[in-house]
Amino acid sequence: MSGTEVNGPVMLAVGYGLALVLYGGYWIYLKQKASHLETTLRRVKGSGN
Amino acid sequence: MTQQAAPETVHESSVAQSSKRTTKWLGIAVAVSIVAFAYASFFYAPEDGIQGSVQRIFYVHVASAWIAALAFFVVFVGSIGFLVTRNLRWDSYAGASAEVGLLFTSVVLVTGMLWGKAIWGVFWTWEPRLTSVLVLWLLYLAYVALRAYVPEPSRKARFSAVLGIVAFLDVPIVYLSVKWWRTLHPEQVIITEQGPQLPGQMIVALVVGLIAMTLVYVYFVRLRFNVNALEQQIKREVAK
Repeated sequence: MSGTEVNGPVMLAVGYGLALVLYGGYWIYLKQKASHLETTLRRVKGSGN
Repeated sequence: MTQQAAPETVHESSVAQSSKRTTKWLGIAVAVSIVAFAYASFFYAPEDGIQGSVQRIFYVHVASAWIAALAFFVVFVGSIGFLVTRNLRWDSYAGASAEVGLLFTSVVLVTGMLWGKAIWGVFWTWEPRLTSVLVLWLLYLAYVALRAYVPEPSRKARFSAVLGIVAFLDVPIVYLSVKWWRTLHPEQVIITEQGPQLPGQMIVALVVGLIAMTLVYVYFVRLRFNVNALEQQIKREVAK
């Protein structure tokens, strides 16, 4: 069995998996940051600052 | 007595609501397009006779690379826009696009290295295409770092705009590297003088990938721009 046959499916799965982690991770980061900032903005507005 | 909101506040609020709705629908379109992309790249496109299943990494790799180039073009345009008009809105779009472009380039590097390990037997080799993409990644990492460490908005925008224009010079070098130098990296198979050198089903999978990645890019830039806007709003409220 050649190296390509051994590594190919594994590298394919790892490649798409890591792409999903990077894109998904960034999406979660932006959602969390926006949610945190919205809470902060409400608090700042509420405090009459 | 009930207090009535000022007309401009009501207007801002309705604009924000409409923007949130658009972003929500865009998110749904992204989810649907990713499912279609997964189906097209794993099931619809035929298996490559020489490379086997690992060739399917090509769809996410190439689509991400094209969108990274688009993202950096937006940074380039936004940078020129800021320097001409001195309007910080241009800078905000450029900053958001650079961060998202850096993410797409990271995916390009990771998927390319994994494909290289399966086909070449090594994760990395210092050949022109790979090296110029790494330089591109480092340039935009420097751009994002610069924005994080310069606090004063107009100085940050000015420095970023200069770097955003200079860094973009590497994009055509990356694109033309496989023509200019002898490289290990496969030559272009889509944009050639003889037309696309791929079977029709593989082209369809790539086009679906390009649509999905374009939607992801627009969605992420919107979310990032929204985060920037919220940060600015908090600063304004605190300064009142």
